[in-house]
This record gives sequence, C-alpha cells and structure tokens, in this order.
Amino acid sequence: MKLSKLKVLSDDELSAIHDASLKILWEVGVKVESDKALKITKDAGATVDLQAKIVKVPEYLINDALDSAPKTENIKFFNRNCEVSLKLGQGRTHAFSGFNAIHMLDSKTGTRRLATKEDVANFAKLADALDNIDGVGTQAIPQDTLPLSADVRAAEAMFLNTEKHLFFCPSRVTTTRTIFDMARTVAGVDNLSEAPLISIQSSPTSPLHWEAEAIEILIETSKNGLMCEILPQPITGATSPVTLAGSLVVHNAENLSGILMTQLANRGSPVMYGCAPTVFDMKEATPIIGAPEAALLRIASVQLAQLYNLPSHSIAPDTDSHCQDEQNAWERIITTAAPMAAGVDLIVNSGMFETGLTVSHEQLVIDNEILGFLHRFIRGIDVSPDLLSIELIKKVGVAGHYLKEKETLMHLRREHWMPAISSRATYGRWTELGAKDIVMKAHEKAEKILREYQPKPLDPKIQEDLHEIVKKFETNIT
Amino acid sequence: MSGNESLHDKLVQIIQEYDPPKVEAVVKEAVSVGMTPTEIIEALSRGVRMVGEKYASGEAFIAELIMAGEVMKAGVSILKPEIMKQGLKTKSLGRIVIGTVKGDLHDIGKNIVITMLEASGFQVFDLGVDVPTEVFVEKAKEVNAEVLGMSALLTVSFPEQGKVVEALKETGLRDRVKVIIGGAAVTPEWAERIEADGYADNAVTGVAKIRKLLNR
Repeated sequence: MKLSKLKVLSDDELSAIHDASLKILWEVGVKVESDKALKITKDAGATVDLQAKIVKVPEYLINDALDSAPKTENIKFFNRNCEVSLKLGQGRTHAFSGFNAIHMLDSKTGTRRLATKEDVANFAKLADALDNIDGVGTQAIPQDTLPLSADVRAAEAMFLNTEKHLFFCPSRVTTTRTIFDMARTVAGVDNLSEAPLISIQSSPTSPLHWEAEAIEILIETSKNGLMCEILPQPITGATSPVTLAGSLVVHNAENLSGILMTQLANRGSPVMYGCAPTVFDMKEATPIIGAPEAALLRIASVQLAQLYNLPSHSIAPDTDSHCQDEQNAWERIITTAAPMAAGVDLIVNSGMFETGLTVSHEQLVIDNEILGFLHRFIRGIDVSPDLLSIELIKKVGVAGHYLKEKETLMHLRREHWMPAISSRATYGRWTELGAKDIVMKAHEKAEKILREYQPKPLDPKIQEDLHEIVKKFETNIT
Repeated sequence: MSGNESLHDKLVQIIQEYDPPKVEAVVKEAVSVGMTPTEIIEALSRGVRMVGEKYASGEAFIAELIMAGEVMKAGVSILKPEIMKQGLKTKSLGRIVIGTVKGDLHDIGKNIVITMLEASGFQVFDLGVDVPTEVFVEKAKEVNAEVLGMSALLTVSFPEQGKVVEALKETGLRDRVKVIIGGAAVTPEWAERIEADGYADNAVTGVAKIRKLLNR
C-alpha cells in the first residue's frame, strides 16, 4: 500500500479549529480594504461596517462557499499548448519551481546578487527540462526592470522559456490583468477558463486583513475562472497566537475568508486552500519556514483542506539556511516530506532557500532530485502474488544470486528510484569521477542543461505580440 | 558478405535483448551461413562490451551487464561442439585466475568483475568462493596465469590474501603473475602491505587496473 497519510489532528481537533475559525469570522471578522470587495460581501449578506471596512461573515455564507468551490478531483491545470498537464486528486503532489525571490546565488562568482530578467528566463528553461518540476513559478522578481513592470517582464521570460503551467503572484491588479492578456495571446482564447494555463496566488496580511490589491487580484482571478491559490502566512507569536492551535484558527479563518471571496466573485471558480503557516524566531525576530512547527502546521492545514474536500497547496522545499549545507538539507526534506505525506496537492518553491529570498540553479537541480526521492518514498510498497516472487525465490534457491534473473530487470525501474545526481559509488570510483559533492554535481547538470537544452520555441508572432503587451504596459506606467 | 555483416550486427544487438533463447537462434543462423565461431564470439563480446561501457558511464544497470554476460554464455555454449571439432583456440587479452579467499563466501562483487573482464576479452578461470591458498597457486601455475585476483569482503578474511602472495613467492611464481585484490573494504594501504600489485574497490576500476598492469 501507499504510505499512510500523515495526520497531526484528530477529527475532533479538526472540528474544534473549524468551529473556532467560524466564531472568529463572525465575532471579529476580517478587514477588507477594498470598496468593491466590501460591496460584494455586503450584497451577499455579510455584516459589513463600511466605515471600519470590517466584514463579519455568518456561517451559512462560508458553508455555501465551501459547497460551490470545485472539489479536488475536478481540478485540472493546463500548459502553454493548451493541453491538460496536471490532474489533481490522483494521489500525487505536484511541484512547481519558485518563488518571487530577490537574490540569486551566482555559482560563477560564488556570491549573492540581485536577480535579473535573464535569471528568470534561465530558471524557466531549467525547470522546463527537469522531470520532477511540474509547473513553473516566478523564480525571482527581476530587479533590473522598473519595479512596477517586474511581474510582467518575468511573465514574458517565463512564457518564452517553458511549456509548463505557469504560476504567478503579481503585486498589482494592473499587472495581473496584463499577465491575463499575455496568457490569452499565448493560448489564443478570449476566455481563460477554457485553457487555464496559468494560476495566481494571493495572500491576506495576517492577522485577518486583506489589502485592496490582494483582494482585488483574487476577485479578478476568480472572475476569469482561473485557479486562485490563497496563501495566508500567519506568523506564530507575531501575527497570530504563539500556540500552534491558535495560529491554525487565524490561518483557517483567513483561508475561509479568501475562499468566500472567490465564490462571491464567481461562483464555482477554482480555489486552493493554502497550507503555509509561518513560525517566528523570537531571538532573531525573523519569520522562519524551516522549523519543525512549520512542518506540523503544514500537515494540520492539509488536513483542514481535505476536511473541506478542497485542493491544497503549500510552499516547499523550505529552509532558512543561507547556503546549500546540512541545515538546508534536513529542513527542506522535513518541510517537503511532511505536506507530501499528508497528501498536499501542490508545493511551490523548488529552487529557493534563505526563507524564500534567494534562489540558485544548483538548488533547483537538487530539489528535482529530492522530489524524485520523496515521490518514490510516498508510493510505498506494492504487494501482489507476482511481486512476492515465490517462484523466483524457489528458482534461485540458496547461495545463488538474483542479478541474472529476468524478473530483476523487469521490476527494477518500477520498484526502485534511480537518482540522477546523488553519489552512490564506492570511495574509489567517487574519487576517480572527481570527488564531487552534490552541489558540484548539481552545478554541472544545470550548466549542461542551460548550454544544450532548447525549450520548444513560442510562435514568433506570439512572441512579438507578448512583447507589444509588455511595451504598452510600460508606456502606461511611465 | 553483406548477409554476414547484418548478421554480425544482429549478434551484437541481440545481447541487449537479455533473452538467452533468442540469442541461441541467432547464433545457429550465423553458424548455418558459415560465420566462424571466432567471428561469432567476437560479435557477441562486442555486444557485451557495449553494455559494459554503458554500465561504466552510468547508463546501464549491473543487472543488465550480468544478463548480457549470461546471454553471451548461452550463445557460446552452442558453439562448443563446433569449436571442439575445428580445434579452435580463442584469442584472449590475458589469462586471469580469480576467486574469493578462504573463509569468505561473498561472490557478487567477484562475479561482476568476471563479467566485465570476459566482456573485455580476458580469459577468466573462476575458482568460486572459500578458495584455499594452495588452490589459487595450483591454478595459477596450471593455466600460466598472468593475473591472480582475490576478493574478500570480510576484514577478518583479508589476511588470506597475504598468505596467497607469500605462497606465490615460495613457489617461485610471484614474478610471473600480477596480483590484484578487491572488495568493498579493501584499502590501498592493505594492498601495499601484502605487496599486491594493485587494488580496486569496484569492477570498473578493477578491469582498468588489470589492463594497465598488463599494458593491454
């Protein structure tokens, strides 16, 4: 059987968190800084204080939204060729590269520098070539553009360099609309819900507060019938209670308020429940994501998403380490294995470290390897009369070996994961091959891909049209 | 000769189908059109060598290499009567006596080395496991071995490798045969201490070292 689903909350505990979140949504409410959003919620029947911009949500509205949001097994992601590339609810966690970092650890110089448009293009190309990367998120916000057009420039680089599904978290409604225009141009459709080749993430500001741009991006996304990934990130002890249970109450209330808004904007539009509560380090006064509590909170939030039968997404692999060291490795394994074993549908963040601020080519290649390892781990052990191999055991008998049996070759690839860059050689062979550690091997693989791999080019006419959209956008903002 | 050429390619390729009955059919076909046993064996070896190269570069699995060796053996066994009849001697790159030392029953590593040596064109005399010192020496003398290979996995059986080297000296064979030792825990320091000519901790390196020792 497959690895048993990892759980950290009992059914009663899940109900207690759900009930507490509803109580908070009704008695405290959420602050929403958008008149448009306030009007929608008021029209729907919420108790709205237009002056204070507070929306108090009755339970029936939440229940109604949870009813109308599409269920996990009905969710499909498309790619640039307008084909279904990912189906959720099939027991697999999909992994996207990402996400919105500022810095790039440049292996050529060994130093951290600001990320550029060219970096975004190269990362998209790398992600396009890597087997276990199922979709491509904006790896970094390019710092060599006008700040307002960074999202749009990054999007252009991504559309050009990968066929995979794209994932954005734009900072403005205007950039969101521009990215939608680009997606329509690439897909050749007017209605993006016919070919949802992109999805959009939007986050409330904890505790219980939606900025105007964030909530309007969410509304705009839902109106277009595109997947909206809600990502609350309450920080324990800073922007939510220090207790994990209390933090989950705030986190769940924020998720539910976002889900409600997607359904009020466009009933039946797809929405994903975010699973990335964050921890606060009280000594350094910094939010951190590689902590054991963060891993526990992810499992708990995946359970909440499953309670609602909604698709779930998290940020992973995660680490607060500043380089590719042991801390990096243990933190990213536990923060990735935990939500995967809990059954999360999507994780976004492959390629990043340093609490999401820095990315590197090597990290993305290493994450591709870790994902292969974990996919195999989660798949568990199959037992069937054939796989028990009784006849084979009898045939080989005692003191022989199984290397020359046809069953060995027949089952090898399905039963065993084949690493791409991990070292498994003897010491002698390892030294003959240059005594390379995993970062060196990841570097070589990344360099080879960037040198030799050519993503399928976008039609030249579409490339021109995309560039026109970018130019027009930049003219309008300057 | 175009018929023979395509059959030659077929012999090379058939190795990678890892199916002994199939190779038997192709070998019979080759014999019937007049290919000599030497030509056939050379073609089959080339097929195994290709798998060996793929294994060395990480493209093939060890199970595939072992299977390739098995398929070749199946093919060659059909030729045995023909070889006897014609009194042919097969050319080899060198004669190697190999075994796992006394007190040690581990032979997977040794078998992998043998497959790779045979694929490279060496003639290998496999003594099996738990081989006493005198058996190594007698066989080396009997076949006029150029290389004697000793495998040991258990550290407690390492001293047996030293005993064989001493026995080779006593019988005056030491100068005529290169000694190579192997096993996952064997170290270059140990090889030096017992005055072996070489050591390897894996099959790919082992074959390369033997070729180097013999300049072949």
